[in-house]
Amino acid sequence: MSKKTIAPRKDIVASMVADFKKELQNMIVEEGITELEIDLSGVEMVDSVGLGAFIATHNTLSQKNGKLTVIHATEDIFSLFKTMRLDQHFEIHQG
Amino acid sequence: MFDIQKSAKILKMTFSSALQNIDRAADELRIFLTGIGKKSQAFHPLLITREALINAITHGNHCDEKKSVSMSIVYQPEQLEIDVTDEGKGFSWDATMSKECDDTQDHGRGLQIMKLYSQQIQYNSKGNQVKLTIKFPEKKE
Repeated sequence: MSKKTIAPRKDIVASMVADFKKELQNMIVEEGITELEIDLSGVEMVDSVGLGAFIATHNTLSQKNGKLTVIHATEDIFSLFKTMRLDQHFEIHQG
Repeated sequence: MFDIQKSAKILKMTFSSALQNIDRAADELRIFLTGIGKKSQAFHPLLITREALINAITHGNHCDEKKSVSMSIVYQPEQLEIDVTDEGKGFSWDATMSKECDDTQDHGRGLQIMKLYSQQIQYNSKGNQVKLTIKFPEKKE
């Protein structure tokens, strides 16, 4: 198992998701990362396209018996992830 | 292209169909919400506005930068009325709205988010204009 934490430090929204997804896919496919932790410190917004990036990354990691964890989500983002039931797919931590 | 008109209670913008313009529109909306004393309650208005703009730009105008999106936001105490119109052909919003979201798919959550976080969502018959109403909960700044 190879573990990595990344912190995008900007909102995960439609305008940046294509590049963000590519970066995450490269980590999994090229670097062989199987335990990926995404630190949302400084992230104030995640939109539906951003949520899709988390699901796509979770799906890719699951195929490799890996794991996605999200940490340091704001109260609003944590609530959005739970409302959209993303917490049923991978771990999300607030604060 | 990015045109903007603003007053204390009305914000109007028209811009070309580039995803980066959603970020600029969201920045302007954040400033507007701060101006009406709703900075601490900005997350949900910003989120549903972003969703309406994503749909308008990607599904409505197919990211064709020659086509524009118009939006207006009106503050009526204690609610916001958000109106977003694109130049697309529209869609069968009633059929799409009644569809269940598949949790394992990496797309298809925008409409669900607008439904969940607005008090009212209304499309015109063509399906290229959406009107959202969001009420602010009682909360002191």
